[in-house]
Amino acid sequence: MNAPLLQVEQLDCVVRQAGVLTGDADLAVLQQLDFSLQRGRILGLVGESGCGKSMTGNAILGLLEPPARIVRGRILFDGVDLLQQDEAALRGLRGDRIAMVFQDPMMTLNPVLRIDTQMIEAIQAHHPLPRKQALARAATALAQLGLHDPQQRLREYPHQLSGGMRQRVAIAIALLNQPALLIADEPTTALDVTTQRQIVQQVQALCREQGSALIWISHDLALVSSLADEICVMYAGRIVERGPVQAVLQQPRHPYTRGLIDAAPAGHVPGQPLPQIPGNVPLPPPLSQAGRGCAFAPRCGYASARCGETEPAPPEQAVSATHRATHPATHHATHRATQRVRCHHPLVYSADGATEAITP
Amino acid sequence: MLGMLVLIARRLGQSALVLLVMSLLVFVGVFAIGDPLAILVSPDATPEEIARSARELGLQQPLWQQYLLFLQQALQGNLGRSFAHGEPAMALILERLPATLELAISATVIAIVLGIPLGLWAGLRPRSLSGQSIMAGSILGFSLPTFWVGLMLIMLFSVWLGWLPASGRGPVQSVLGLPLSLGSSEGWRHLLLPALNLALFKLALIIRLVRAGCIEALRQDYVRFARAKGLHPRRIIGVHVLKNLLLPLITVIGLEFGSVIAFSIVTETIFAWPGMGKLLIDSINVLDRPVIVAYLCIIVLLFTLINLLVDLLYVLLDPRLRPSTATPQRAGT
Amino acid sequence: MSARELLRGFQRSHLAMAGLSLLALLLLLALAAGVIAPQNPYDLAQLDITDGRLPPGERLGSGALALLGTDDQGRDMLSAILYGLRISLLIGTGSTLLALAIGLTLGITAAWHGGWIDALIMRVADIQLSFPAILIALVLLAVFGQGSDKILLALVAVQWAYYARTVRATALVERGREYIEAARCLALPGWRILLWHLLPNCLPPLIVVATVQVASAIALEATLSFLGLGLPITEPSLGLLIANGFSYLLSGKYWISLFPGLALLLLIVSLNLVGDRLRDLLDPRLQ
Ligand SMILES: Nc1ncnc2c1ncn2[C@@H]1O[C@H](COP(=O)(O)OP(=O)(O)OP(=O)(O)O)[C@@H](O)[C@H]1O
Ligand SMILES: [Mg+2]
Repeated sequence: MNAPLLQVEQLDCVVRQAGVLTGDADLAVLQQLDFSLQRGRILGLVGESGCGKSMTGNAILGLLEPPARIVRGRILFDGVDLLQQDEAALRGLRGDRIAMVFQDPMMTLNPVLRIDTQMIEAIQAHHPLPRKQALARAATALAQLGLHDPQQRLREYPHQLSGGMRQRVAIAIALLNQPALLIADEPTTALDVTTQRQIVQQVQALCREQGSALIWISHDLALVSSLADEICVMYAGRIVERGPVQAVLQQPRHPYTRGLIDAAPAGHVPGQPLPQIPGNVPLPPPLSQAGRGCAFAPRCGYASARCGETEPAPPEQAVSATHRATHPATHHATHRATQRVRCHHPLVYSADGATEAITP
Repeated sequence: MLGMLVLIARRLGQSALVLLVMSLLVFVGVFAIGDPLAILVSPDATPEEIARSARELGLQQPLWQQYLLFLQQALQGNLGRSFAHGEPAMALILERLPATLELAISATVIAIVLGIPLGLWAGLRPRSLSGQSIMAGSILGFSLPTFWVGLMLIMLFSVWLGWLPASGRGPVQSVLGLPLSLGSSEGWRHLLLPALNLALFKLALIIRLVRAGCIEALRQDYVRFARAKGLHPRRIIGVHVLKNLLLPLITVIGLEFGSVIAFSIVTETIFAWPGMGKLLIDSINVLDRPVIVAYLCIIVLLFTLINLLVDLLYVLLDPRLRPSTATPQRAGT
Repeated sequence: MSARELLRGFQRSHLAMAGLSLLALLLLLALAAGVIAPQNPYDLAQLDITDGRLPPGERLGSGALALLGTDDQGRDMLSAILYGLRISLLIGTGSTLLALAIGLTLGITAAWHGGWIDALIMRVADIQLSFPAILIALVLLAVFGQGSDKILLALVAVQWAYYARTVRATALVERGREYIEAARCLALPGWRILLWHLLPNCLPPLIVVATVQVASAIALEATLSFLGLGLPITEPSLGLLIANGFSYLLSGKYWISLFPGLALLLLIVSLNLVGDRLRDLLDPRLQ
């Protein structure tokens, strides 16, 4: 069994908040984040807005800036702890072995630089390639993402391209150096559904072709289910459930995942009001108050007294062998990924998978 | 290319319009409100001379004809003779123009060369002691009157330290037909203090602008994306941030060039720099009005020209404004 | 925002508090000039030309101490500075208030009438603002001649446009509000209601603009006086005092220019510090 490409262990991130009266306080944004990703696999990272998805992506790339910072944990990439690397070493990895694209296509490209400049610099930052060859590689990358007339596109400025084209260009830039890992932070959220679907398919195909692993950040469950191999569900800075995408989406074990799936518009009866999870995502708590009870408990229909007192342990330790055995869905996982949940009362399913009950 | 030409033509038209309006204002000031004979004819003139000038100025004609005549004369550079020097006023001003331009351009260069690095430094470390000191200095530079700073410079560098001359222009050599003082070290020594004095206000402005622009740019997604590409900070600052800063910077520097020329009036007076600003003050003091009117016409022309040039430069530099023949294309499948 | 809240806002910034205290001190000195100055610098009978150009700390012929030295006519510099401070402040605030009144009227007129009146007023303001203040002031002085009233005129002329712009912008927002419509329906004189409601809204930005403008008016007056186009020599402002000393600066008699210069500097910097803080506190866009 190979060592995973990426392994995030017990990652804690805080944001320092300036308080006029109370003094500065650290807010716990990511808490004991724990997941791993195999080479060439696709991971969907989902959760409501503000739960820390972008921060996870930025943390892996070492792009967190004050007031945010990492306080604990390890990020192993290819067996090397990124948190121990200096800036120069990280710079060598960024854009070469690990790449990232961001949400807003209108803002990610520099408005005053031509596309060719922005692509060539991305290549030449890592490989001493002559300009001509770099240009050829850039044109190929644009064509791979379905852009017509790449030579013409290269000579244009971002404002001459539509939003969808800009995002294709951004993704092409990210994939220029055939990274081992691409982190896509909701790159299609701002685009129309058709464009979104095309881009998702192209990225998926390209990653398979190049052997790149992909972390796709999204809050669109349907999209993730069609794209990803595995899924991590985040809530309030924690991963509350993860596993093979089919298993998690068909038989979610965390009440929050269940709520998310029920709230998704797809497959819901027309005319009926869309079910919602009551309440809102809590704001990140001060570090001193973090870890008091399950963060989801106030919104959870299954919460018990215990949920308000102690926080469920991270999944790695929590799911016992017996629980895992009761799972009908585990055979979906082609790799070792198993469905894991961070909950005192995970949902269980009867043999036909239709009814649900609460574990005692 | 055609779009560009149309654009230039339109801007030229606008500038011509502004010039026309300004000339009307000058005309109204001189001919309608003031007494043109008192303004444009020497007080020691004999009655015959005055009568002749009145005829030349067409004062017996209706006002609109007088205006046309004024325009015609102005276009020929004929705005009367200086009472004090006996020379045509326009020629007198133009003779001093190179000295003023030399001073103004040197000041602008100093402001840019010092302002951009200082502004970047302060923008990259806004909370550091050095960053805040630069900012405090820039605020001070804004509030100090130019003449006051000039005085302090003279006191420090000329009187106490004795390093640099306090007044006058050094020897000039003809460079491309223009008399400039940049050819000799003595010329440089004379230029340095006045140029520094004139630069200070613009320096403060550029520092502020660059710092704010830098802080703003660093927050943008394209800088984050550039970092995610693994670019060296040198390239991110030097290319991605700076190129975005350049556009507003050039606009402001260009537009402020007019005010540099205006403020050179003060600096030239303090440092006895023989430019057209000093000539203006001397003329005001002896009521040499033809020179004042000529100065006014020249300065209006300069301002209009500067605005035109900045506009065109802006279009040239900003890809978003450049008229393009290509229409935005659709994404492929 | 009440005066007390404002004061508390000032107290939170050391720099602003220092500026405010300094400004208060300077105002006090200027007001009390007649009482605390050792000499009346305008009274030529008190001057003795043999006392001329005494360095700081020397004694005059009359035995009085010239703490900051004397100028070429034997004027005690400290007294001259105190009186000069008063004149500079007077002409700075006077011109600002006058310009404020004119700008307010024109701004409201422009916003209320709209159409060509608005266009005319605002175009004139635009053109004027595109030229540096000093140029406009110089041209006016060159055309109309010199004197205290001309200086005041020039200082008002370069300032009104700032206020007109500020007021018009606020007034345009207010004009669309319902109460104005209601007043119109009732055939009440709408502009009076506008003025009544407008003033409280315009006031904060106007105060900010005005504080900074007082500083620049003082600086401009000093510059014009320095160029020899300012106030008459009989009642010297700070700028004229500095100009008087300028010719002696080169021969090392620094005090005639330096001390009035420092007074001017403190005055302008304190006004700017207060203005900056006021902007932070009063301008909601910056909060
Ligand atoms: N620089 C910062 N300053 C203050 N708070 C921050 C900062 N960066 C992140 N946060 C906080 O961290 C939390 C997680 O933010 P993050 O951007 O990772 O959320 P997200 O899951 O990506 O949300 P979205 O779906 O809206 O993009 C939020 O509560 C946010 O308020
Ligand atoms: Mg996000």
